[in-house]
Parts: sequence; C-alpha cells; structure tokens
Amino acid sequence: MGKYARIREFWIVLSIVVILLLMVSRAVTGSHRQNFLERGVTAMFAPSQRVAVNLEDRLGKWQYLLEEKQQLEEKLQDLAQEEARLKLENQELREYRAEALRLEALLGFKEANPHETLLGARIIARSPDNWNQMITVDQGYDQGVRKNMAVVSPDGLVGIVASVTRNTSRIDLLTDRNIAVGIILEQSRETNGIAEGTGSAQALRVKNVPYYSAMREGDRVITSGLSEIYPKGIIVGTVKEVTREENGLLLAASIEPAVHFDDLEEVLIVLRYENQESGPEAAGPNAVSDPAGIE
Amino acid sequence: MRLRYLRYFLLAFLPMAALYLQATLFRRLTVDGVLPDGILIFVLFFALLNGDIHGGVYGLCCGLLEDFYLGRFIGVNMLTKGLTGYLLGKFNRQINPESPWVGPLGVFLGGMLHAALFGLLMLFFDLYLMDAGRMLKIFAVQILYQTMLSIPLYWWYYHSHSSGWLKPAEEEDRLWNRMNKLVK
Repeated sequence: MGKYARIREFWIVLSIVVILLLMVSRAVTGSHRQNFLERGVTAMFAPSQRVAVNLEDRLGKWQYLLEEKQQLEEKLQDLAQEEARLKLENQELREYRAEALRLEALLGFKEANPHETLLGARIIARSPDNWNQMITVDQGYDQGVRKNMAVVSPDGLVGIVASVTRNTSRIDLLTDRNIAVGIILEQSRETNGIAEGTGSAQALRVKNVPYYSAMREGDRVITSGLSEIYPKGIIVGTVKEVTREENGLLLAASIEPAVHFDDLEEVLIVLRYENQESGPEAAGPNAVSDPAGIE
Repeated sequence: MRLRYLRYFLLAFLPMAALYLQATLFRRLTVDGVLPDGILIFVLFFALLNGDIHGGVYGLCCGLLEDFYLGRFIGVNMLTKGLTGYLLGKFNRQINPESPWVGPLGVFLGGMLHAALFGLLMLFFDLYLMDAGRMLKIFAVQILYQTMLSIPLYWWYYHSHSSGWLKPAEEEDRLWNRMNKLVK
C-alpha cells in the first residue's frame, strides 16, 4: 500500500468516526430529528418488523395453545376416568333403585294379602336349556318351602314349587307344559277351564271352553281357587285371542301371562293361605323367616 | 400321572361350567331367546378327536349330568347326547383334526343329529314340549349359534387336546384300545 493510499484510508476512517460521533452526540442530547435517510431505513424495515412481531405473536399464541392443549388433554383424560367411574356408580344406583322398587312391590303385595304367609325368594338360576320353563330360587326346605306350593309375584301367578333341597327350590313356571291351573274370568266370575303352559314364555292356552262362554279378548283371567295348590284370585293373565276348536263346538283361548318371566328376579312363595285345607305343617317350622328381607 | 388327573378334572369341569353358565350368565346372551347347548359342543369335540366309543361314553356321562340337574325325564339327554357323540365319533378317522373347519362342521352336523334324535324321542314317548314349529325354530337358531361359538372354542379345544391339559395319556390310550377291542 502506498503512502497516499494510507493517508486516504486514515481520512476516510476519521471522517466516518467523526460523523458517527456527531450522530451519537445529537442522539444523546435529544435534539435529534430523523433525517430522510433514517426515516427511509426505518420505513424500509418497518414491514418486515411488523411481520416478525406478528410471527412472534402467533408463535406465542401457538405455544400457549400447545400448552393449553396439553393441559386440556390431561383434564379430558381425568374427566373421562371420572365419567367412567360415575357411569359405573350410576349403574349401581340404578340397580339398587330397581331392586328397591321390586322389593317395595313385593312388600306391597304381601301387605295387601295378609291372609297368605309369603316367603320372599331370589332367583339364582334359570333353565339351562330351551325346553323347560323353570327357575331355581334361594329358599328351600330349611326355610319352610315344600313341593307343590304356589309361587307368585306382584304381577300375578308365577308357578309351582317342583322340587326342594335344603336351601334351594326349583319352580316350574306357569308357561311350562307340565303346569295347569284352574281359571275364571275376573269380571264375570265365569268358570272357564284350565290354562296350560305352552313351553313359550309369552303364551298359555285354555282348551275346551264352552261355546257360550263370555270370554272375550282383553278379559283378565284369575285363579279359580278350586285346586289345593293355588289361592283364589291371583291374576294369571289376559285373554289374547279366542278361537273355535277344530270340532267347532268348543272354544280355545290364548292367554298372555301377567308376569314377564324373563324380567323376574324375586318371587314370593305361598307357604300358607286362607282356606287351605292342609295344615301349617306343610310350611315347616321356619315359615315366617324371610332372608330376602321382604317382611 | 398328575396331568392325567388334571385331564379328567377338566373333562368333568367343562360340561359343569357349561351347565352353570347356561343357567345364569348366558341367559343374557340368548339369540332370539334361544340358548346354545354348551354341553353338546364339548361332547361333539371330544367325539371328533377321540372316536366313537369315547364320544359315546362322554356323551352319556354329560347327558346324565344334565338330566340330573333338570330332574325331569332322566335319560333323555343321556340317550341323545350319548348317541350323538357315538355317531359323530365315527368320523374320527376320516377327518383332519388340525383343520379349523372340523369343529364348526362337526358341531353343525352333530347339532342336526342331536335335534333329530331329540325330536324322535319326543315323538316316540309322546312328550309334548312345545309346538313343532317353535321347536324347529329353536333347533335352527341353536344349531347356528353353536356352530358360531364352536369356531373359537374348537381352536382352544384342539390345541389343548394335542399338546395341553386335555392331551390323553399313553396308558389311557392302551386302556381304551383294549376296551375298543372288547366292544368291537
């Protein structure tokens, strides 16, 4: 580098330093006013700065949203667990409510029939096949249950005790084809015949009804009380259809049972009822005990 | 030796468990109100994998258990399940037990055979259970239901029979072979 070049460089650097010092001194003293260059530069950067600020804002919002999302997800998870727990609790409470209503109905039925000694029993099993209509309950010989006792529910007649062990009993349902019960019409008190099970939970049938019978669709049918087993006046069902038998002289009827056997969970066993000829020995020594808590 | 007793225990436990489940929990899993016959399924599997004599004896025992439980017409299930097990066991040598179709097909055929035998017995003894139309419908739904159930069940049963708890012991095989010779 030559001597002149160095002197030129020195003067250039000095000029820049002086200019900058002047600028700084003006800025520091506060009497500075932006010149057109400064304004130009500021104006040139302003849009990009605005973009940067917006970007920063947005990034901040995203970050906030992400954090928020994470918190919400955690909260949602907690709520889902809580919901599952509450659903379960609700289900349990519904079960208790349904049970309480059923037991209340049983109690009401029991109070409405003071002449009958009734024993509450819970259904513990049903028929394991498709051919037999029967249930097993948790009361047996030790609780005073004996074979051939009638079984009822607040809705109506359920069936008959078919066999008994020490602590369980098997009950043949009204719809079993082994069961037959004498019936009369509730309104006209007309004796109409014998209702038999059909093997289906939805229907009973009555055969050999006299052609002059007053039996009509919708009539309620109750037990006649002519047998030793069933107390008189228990609802059996409603007449669904009356048809003429093949010989044309007699009528046949289809009866819809009053009890919904598939929904049944508790029943009452009639240990003794008024006007029953056989004595209380049939009921055994513990006839009044009621482990199902109905009494 | 200990495994052999476990096998006997399991063979006795399976029909009992089926009976228990059908009388309780399976009541909520009916198809159109129809229950499957779990005991029959196990009798059919046993007959398919062990042969006619085995199937017949196992069917008789399982049927007897069911008859005792029901407490009615002692012998009906014993006879129908015993005969079904015996007749289906005849296919024992013709089938490839490894095929996953053997179980469902066997249960389908066995179900039809059992239904036919049951119906014939009802007719023969004049036992009225329900209307014929309803009975046929129940049989049809039951057979289909059992066939569906047998798809996963056979997979487990076959593996247990070939290499698990249900695998027959050698000395037991010798005993059965001797019995087979005596019978035939």
